[in-house]
Amino acid sequence: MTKSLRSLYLTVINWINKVKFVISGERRNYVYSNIFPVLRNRRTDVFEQISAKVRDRGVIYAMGIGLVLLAFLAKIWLDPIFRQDETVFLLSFVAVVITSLSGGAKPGIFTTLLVAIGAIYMYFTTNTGKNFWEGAYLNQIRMFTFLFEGVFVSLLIGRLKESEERAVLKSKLLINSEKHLRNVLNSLYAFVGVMTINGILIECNNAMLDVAALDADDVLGKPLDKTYWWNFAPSSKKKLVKAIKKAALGNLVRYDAKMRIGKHKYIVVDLTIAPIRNDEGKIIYLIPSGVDVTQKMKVINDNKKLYSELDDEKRRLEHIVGNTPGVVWEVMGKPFRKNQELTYISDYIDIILGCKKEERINDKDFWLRIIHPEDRDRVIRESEIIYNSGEGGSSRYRWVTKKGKIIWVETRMVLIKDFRGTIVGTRGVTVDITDRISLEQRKDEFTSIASHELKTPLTTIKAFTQILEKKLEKTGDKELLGYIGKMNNYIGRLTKIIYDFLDFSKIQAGRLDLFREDCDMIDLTKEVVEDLQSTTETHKILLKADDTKAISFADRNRISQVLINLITNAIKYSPEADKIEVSARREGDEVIVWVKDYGVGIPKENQSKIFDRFYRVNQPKKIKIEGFGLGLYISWEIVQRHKGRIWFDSIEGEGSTFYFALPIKK
Amino acid sequence: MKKVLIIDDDAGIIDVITIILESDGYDVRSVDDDSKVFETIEEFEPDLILLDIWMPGMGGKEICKRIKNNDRYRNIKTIMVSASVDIEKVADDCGADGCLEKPFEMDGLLATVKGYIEETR
Repeated sequence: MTKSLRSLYLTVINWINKVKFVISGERRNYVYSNIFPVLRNRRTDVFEQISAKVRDRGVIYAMGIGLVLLAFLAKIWLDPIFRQDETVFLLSFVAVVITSLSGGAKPGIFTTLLVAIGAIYMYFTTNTGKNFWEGAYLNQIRMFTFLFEGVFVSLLIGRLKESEERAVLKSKLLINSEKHLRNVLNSLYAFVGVMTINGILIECNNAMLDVAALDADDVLGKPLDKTYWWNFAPSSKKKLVKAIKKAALGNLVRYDAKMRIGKHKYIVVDLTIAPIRNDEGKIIYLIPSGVDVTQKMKVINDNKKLYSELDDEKRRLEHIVGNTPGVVWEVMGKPFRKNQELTYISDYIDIILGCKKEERINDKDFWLRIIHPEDRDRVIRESEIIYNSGEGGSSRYRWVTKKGKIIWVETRMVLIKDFRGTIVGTRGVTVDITDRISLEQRKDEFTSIASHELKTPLTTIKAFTQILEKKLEKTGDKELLGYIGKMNNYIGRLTKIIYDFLDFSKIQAGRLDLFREDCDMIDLTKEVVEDLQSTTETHKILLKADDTKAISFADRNRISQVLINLITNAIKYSPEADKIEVSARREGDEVIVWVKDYGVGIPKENQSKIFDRFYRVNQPKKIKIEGFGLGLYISWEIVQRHKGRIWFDSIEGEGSTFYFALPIKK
Repeated sequence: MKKVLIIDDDAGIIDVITIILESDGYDVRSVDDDSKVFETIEEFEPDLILLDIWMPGMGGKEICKRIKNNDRYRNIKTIMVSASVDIEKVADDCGADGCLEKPFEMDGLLATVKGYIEETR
C-alpha cells in the first residue's frame, strides 16, 4: 500500500518537476537525481524489480477483494436506513476505481468481476430470495451496466497509469544516463562546458572549475567572457566573444586561448567551441572545450627560442668563418677524384678569388681549375700523399684569381675519419700567404746580399794575404811571415763568424736548406778528424770508429759543420788537456757520434741553456771565448732537421761529452 | 798562353784574381760592366770565364745563359763565382761548367782554373 502511495506521490512529483523543467528550462537538478540511488549491480536491480512487482500486484488484488467486501458490508450496513439496490454498484464502482488507480486495468477488471459474482450469488440470491435471473429486469440491466462501466473505467485508468509509469521509467533512465554522462565529463582532464548560443555558461565539468578553484555558482549563468577565467584582459575577452559569435553561426572555432586560473596565473588552452544542433538543425547549445597546452606551448616556445638561438649561432659562426682571412673547407672522398664532394667552403674564397658564389657552386672542376697550371700535378700528388699518410699535413701552391692575379696559398689539412677509423675526407684551411712568400723571398735576398757583401771583401783580403805569404816565403822574411800568420788566423775567425751569422739568419727565416745524400757517417767522421788534426798542435784527436758502414741520408757539409763545431769547442774548452776523444758507431737504427774532452765542463745551472742561441758558457778568465755563441744552436738545428738527436754529459771540472745521433737509412 | 776573362764588378776581386792567375802564367783580362761583356769576349776570345753571379745589370746568371746559348761561345769554360751556398744549383741552372764559392783559397782558385783549362785541350 505504501508502495502504491509512494508511486502515486512520485507520479505527482514527477509531473511537478517536469513543469519545473519547462519553466526553469536549463539547469539539471542534483537533488532530483539523488532521490533515485543508482543501482550499482545490475543483477540486484533486476531481482528487486521483479520481487517489488510481485509484492505490489498481491497487495493490489488483496486491496481489490478488501474493497469489494467493504462495499458489500457497507450495503448491508446501509440497507436498514437506505434500501436501494443501486447502492452496492455505486460502492463497488468506487472500489473498482481505487483498485485500477492503484494497480492498473487488470486489478480493476478483476474487482469488477468480483463485484458482479458477489452481487449475483451473494446479494441478489441470498438477500432478496430470488434468483438473479428471475429477479427484477432492472437489476439485470444495472448489473450489465455496472460490468460495462467497471471494465471500461478499469481499462481507461489502466491505460492512463501505464503511460504514466512509462514516463516515470523514462525519466529515471534519463536521470541515470545524465548521471553517467556527468561522471564521464567530470573524469575528463579536458575542460568541457555547455553554453547557450548567447555565450552564457550553463554547465561545466569539474576539471574546468577545479583548475581555478571555482564553484559552479561562481560561473554558471554568466557569459563565458565575463567568467573569472577570461575576465582579465580586454583582448582575451574580445577574442572569445568573437569566437562565440562565430560558433553561434554554426562554425567550429578553435584557437589557443589564454585562461586565468589564479592570481597572476595563466594557462594556455587549445579552445574549441562547437555548435550543437537539434533535430531540426537549429543551433541550441555551444560546447566550449579545451585542453591545457601550456607545457606544450612552453616546449614549442622553448624549441622556437632554441632554434632561433641555434640559427643565430650558426649565422654568427658562418659570419666568423666567412670573414676569417682564410678559406675553411671540407671535402668528402679522396682529393681531386671524381667522386669527391665539397661539403663546405667558407665564403672567404669569393673574396680571395674575386668570384661569385653562383659561379663556383655548379663547377665540379672549380677546386682544380683555380690552381696555377704549373702547380696542379704537384698539388694532386701532395694531397694524395697527405691523404694516405693518415696524419694530415700542409701544402703550398699558387691560385689564379678571376682577374688572373697569381697568389700564393698554404693549405693545412686534417683527415676526417669515420667511427671505424677509416679516412673518409679532409678538412682544412687555406690561407693567402702571398705577402709571407714575398717576405721570405726578401729575406732570402737579404741573406744572399749579406753573404755576397761580407764574403767578397773577405775573399779579397784572404787572397791578398796568401799572395803576400807566398812572396814572403820566397824572400824568407820570418818577422813579416809571422804577422801574415796572425792575419790568416783572424781571417779564419772572421770567416767563421760570418758563416755562423749567415746560418743563423737562414735558421731564423726557416730557410736552412739541406742538400741530402747518402753518406757514410763513419767515413765522414774520419775525414773531419783528419782535417782538424792538421790544424791543432795542442791536442791529439783520438778516433774510435767501426770499420762497418753507417749510411745516413744527410747533408754532408752540414753534418761536417756539426762535427767540426763539437771538436773545436772541445779543444777550446780543454786548454789544459792534450787529447780529445771522438767516436762514431752504429747502434741499432742510429749512428751515434760523440766528442769527449777533459776540460772545464759545464756548470749544472747552465746545462739547460747550452743549446740556446747566443749562449756562451761563463768560463774562468783564462779561457778566451770567441764567436757569437751560435755554434751549438746551429748544430742543434742541423741535427733536428735531420730528425736526429743531440745531447751531452758534463761534469764541471772534469769535462764534457757531446753526442749526436742520426737515423740510419733503411 | 791560356786566356782567362774575369767578369766581376768588385775591383778588389778582379785585382786579386788577376795577380794570382798572372803569377801562374795566364793571360788575364777583366770586365766590370755587363754592357761590355760580349764585346770583350768577341775581342779577347777567352778559354775560360770567371763570372760573378752578382753582377749589376743583367746579372751573372743571364750572362752565362747567353754565353751557353751562343754557338760561338758555347765551348768557353764558364765558372760561376759566388758567396751563395747554393752556388752549385745556380751553376747547374744556368748551364755553367763549374763554380767557385767565396771566400776561396789561392790554391783552390788555381786548381779549379787549371782543371777546367786542361779539359779544353
